[in-house]
Amino acid sequence: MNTLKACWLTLLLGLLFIPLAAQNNTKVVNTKHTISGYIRDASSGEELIGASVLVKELGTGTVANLYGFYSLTLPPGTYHLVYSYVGFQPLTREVVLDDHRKIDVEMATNAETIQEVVITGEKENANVENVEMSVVKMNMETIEKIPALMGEVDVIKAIQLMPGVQTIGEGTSGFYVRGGGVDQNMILLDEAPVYNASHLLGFFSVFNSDAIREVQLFKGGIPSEYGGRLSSVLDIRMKNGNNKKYNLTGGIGTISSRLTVEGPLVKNKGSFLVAGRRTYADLFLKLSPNADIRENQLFFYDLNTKANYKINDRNRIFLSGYFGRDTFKAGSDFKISWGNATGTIRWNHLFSDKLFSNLTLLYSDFDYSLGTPEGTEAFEWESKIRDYSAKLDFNYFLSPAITLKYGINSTYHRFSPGVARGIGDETIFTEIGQDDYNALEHAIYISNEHKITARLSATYGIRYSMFQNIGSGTIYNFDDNFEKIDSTVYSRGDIFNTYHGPEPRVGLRYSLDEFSSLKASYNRTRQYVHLASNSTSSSPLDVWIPSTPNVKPQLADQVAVGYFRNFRQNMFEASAEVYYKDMQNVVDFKDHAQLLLNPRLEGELRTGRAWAYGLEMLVRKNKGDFTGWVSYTLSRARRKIDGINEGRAYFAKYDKTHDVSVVGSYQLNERWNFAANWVFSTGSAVTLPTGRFEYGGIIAPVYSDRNGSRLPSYHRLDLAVTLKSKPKENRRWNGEWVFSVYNAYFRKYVFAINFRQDEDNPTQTYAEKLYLFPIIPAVTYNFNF
Amino acid sequence: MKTRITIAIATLLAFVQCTERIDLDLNKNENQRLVVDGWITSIARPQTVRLTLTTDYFQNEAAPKATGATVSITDGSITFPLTENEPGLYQTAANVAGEPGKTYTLEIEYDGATYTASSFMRPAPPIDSINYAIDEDELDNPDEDNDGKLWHELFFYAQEPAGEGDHYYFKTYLNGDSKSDTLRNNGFVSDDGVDGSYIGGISYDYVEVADGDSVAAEMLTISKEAYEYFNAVMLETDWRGGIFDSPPANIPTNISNGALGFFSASAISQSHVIISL
Repeated sequence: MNTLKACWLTLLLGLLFIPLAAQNNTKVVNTKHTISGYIRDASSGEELIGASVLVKELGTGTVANLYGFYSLTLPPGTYHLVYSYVGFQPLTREVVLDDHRKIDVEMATNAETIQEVVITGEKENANVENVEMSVVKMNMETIEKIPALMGEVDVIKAIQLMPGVQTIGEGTSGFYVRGGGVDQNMILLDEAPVYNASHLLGFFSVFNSDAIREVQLFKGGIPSEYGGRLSSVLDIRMKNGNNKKYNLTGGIGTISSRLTVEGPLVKNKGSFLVAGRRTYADLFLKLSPNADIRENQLFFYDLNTKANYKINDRNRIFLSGYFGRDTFKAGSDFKISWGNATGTIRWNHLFSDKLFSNLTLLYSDFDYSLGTPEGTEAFEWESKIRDYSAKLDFNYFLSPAITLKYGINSTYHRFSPGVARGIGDETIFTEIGQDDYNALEHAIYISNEHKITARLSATYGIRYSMFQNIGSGTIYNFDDNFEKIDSTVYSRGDIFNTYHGPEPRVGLRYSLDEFSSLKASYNRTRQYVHLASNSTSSSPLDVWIPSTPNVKPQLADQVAVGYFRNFRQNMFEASAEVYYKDMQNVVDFKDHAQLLLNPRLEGELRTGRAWAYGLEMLVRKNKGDFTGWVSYTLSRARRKIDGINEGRAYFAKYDKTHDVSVVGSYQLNERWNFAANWVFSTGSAVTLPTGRFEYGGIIAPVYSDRNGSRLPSYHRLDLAVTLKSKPKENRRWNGEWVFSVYNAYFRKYVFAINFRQDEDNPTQTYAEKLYLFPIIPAVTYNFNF
Repeated sequence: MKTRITIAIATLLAFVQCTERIDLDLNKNENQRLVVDGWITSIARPQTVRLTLTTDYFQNEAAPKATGATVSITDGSITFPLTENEPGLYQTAANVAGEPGKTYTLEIEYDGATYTASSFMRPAPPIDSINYAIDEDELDNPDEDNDGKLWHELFFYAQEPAGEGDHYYFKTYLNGDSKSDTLRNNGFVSDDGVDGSYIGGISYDYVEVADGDSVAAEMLTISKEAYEYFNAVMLETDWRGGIFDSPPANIPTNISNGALGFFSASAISQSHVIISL
């Protein structure tokens, strides 16, 4: 163990040393100069993540990082730099490069006209030109136009409309990426992991659209800086807040209202943002004639806060936090409450104009509690997971051809899966539940974006991750039949189990011409924490457990190949990708598993192999009055786990052969926008009975294969109309009405089929379908001041 | 406790969900299987084994009886033969009682195949007493036409013996008759969370009774496997239907050779009370 620690320390010191060496380097090699700076939105001062900079004379360039920073090192000369970003007017700057230059630019959106801007003929072909593939990027403008359930704009529902992202059931904020489970998605909000991204039993996600700037989903070719989950990374970045003027944004919706305040702390140096949202369904409950219902409570709220301050040109600090909670109370009998809290502190530091660093400290907490406060059955139950992390990341813009990214991070996980205990004098309950687990997770990575030739670019890197169980803790030992034999108790601070391994990541892009390219990627990912939940829906009663000597880490290998082509001067983006993913040690649960409050939970787990493959196609139109996309996914997801389905391979519940989304938005004029989306998919794989038997007066089902049958196929149409207030000069108050209809042709989709015994005629059994949403109209009023 | 949670969450969903009966074509079960409902208890009475057969899911008539089987129960030294008193109903003599601490084996020969099952009879702790109180809803909304009967809540008092792994099945008798024989109406519990506690007045059943009625409680010890079996039966039937359900899975069994159902050896402790209104 000591050697391991020593290795780790050496690596850490090595990483810290690189920037210093790099600084010295720039002084020695002085034949080239560096242009660096930030690319921002002219109206709000928000950094533009991924904005591109092209050196016209050389035909090469770079891309702004996650903080809007870019750096280019070039031989002396006179250059024209073209800055571009989707939805913004391209901007050209002439630079006489005879020394290091710092150039910050501010770009204007297409809607506005700003005098200094030189409009160029440069087109956006990032889709074709970037090395990255299997990525879904969405800006909030697009997301807000999509018709939403009950008018609640939802980033997760929006990404579910992209190829390779599946849902089961409807209206849930859980998602399945390329045959991976819902627990295999890493959801990051300003770099902090969000363990349960759902409100109100999963019908809404925890992300308030007003506070979000940018959403990226990596389905494959996952960059080396991300890790910890097998199948995807959903990277959500909050707005920094307008650093030029105060701004009030809000909305009054059918089920919730929102209010966001943002503005400069010190003009052009720092800004803040506070965004809140709360539902008011429970206020309607008060109107109910039934006294029991009046006493019920059902609501959620969330609060996003962020502040940033630029200390000087080289240092900037960001603070961000998220707090959200759901509460459900049934009279005085029962109360359940759950929520996430995350906090991030970031310090951007420029060691030199080529070397950007970011130090992040973060905290994430997901907890729930439930209970009955009084009487003989009074109890309370609490469950918690907390993460404390430190990360240090570097971007080293060595030359236009080479950008190195490297970093190190460590997380302390504290899992309290759940303890229930009786409360009060009358209670009959003692205490049941699971012991706490503690663990450390570390990773170190390095990757390089390398423009090898004019046509060939590569991103290659490696991540090395490590997971350690640390005392105090009790580990149960199980026999081959998963029965507990005995247990081992470890003392505080004792590192009693370690898993580790490399995670190579490679991506290649070969340009066929200006408008088309071929891409390929391979990635290996490891996952050390597992979700013990086998229900269909996003349940708040999530139990996360770490890998232990009994539970091995999950491991995935994925290869993907794609063809990317833009048409009509980049008016249309199109892509087709195929992928194959092999997963080892995926977790499932034995039949009738007892997952809640079970101290021997690990005995209920079964692990095995899963594999998934598919074809994803997307045609997208980003420009013009009519925008939108059509996506199609053909896929398969199978699993084979000893002890489940008698050891035979079976379909994952989220296996869907065909999945189609059509999303369109038409801007009639400055005031009217019409939007529609239509989705179709093969029905989910379900287990239906093939026979029945009687026992103790009950008719019980007999099944054959797990998930061997299909629900009927799913399709749904949603519509929305947006009416903006009349544009007037000098008007600060801008309002808009959004009218939306969910499930417009009222299809009673089969959410689940239940089999029941007729109460009056006990020999009769019948099937009953369960559907959730009828046609749901909603009205929202949004404003901006 | 866990059941309460499930119910509470289900009420949450009731806000949005709707149900509708549908017609459905299901795959047919290929071959009929034997289904066993067998008990041996510590009280001298005809010990009973019911044998039926599986059917297609939408059969919609009572399960066919398995007649003409040879059935016996043995504790290793003594064998009790069972006779078919009604089609599919096999019983021992009326004076047969099992003894706690022994393992009983059921043996069935039916249609050329042999099926067996074993179960260990765990001793039953005594019930101190049962008690009753008028149901609150009955006070709020008294039922007019009920022949002087009122709904009462039953309470149960007993010491749960220390040591995890005890499981119990409860039955209620009204004036000597079993109130209900279906699993649906009889409770079964494990000592998880109450191990070694004094169970001082837990509400466990409701009865509609008149003055002078006799109410008796029977507590049967069951094995962990039997508890899991009952739990699975309920999970696959009455408790299924929410979106928090685990995936459907076949109900386990302790009968060999592909048969379904369960055979349990159970000790019984009893208590009764006379209602005085």
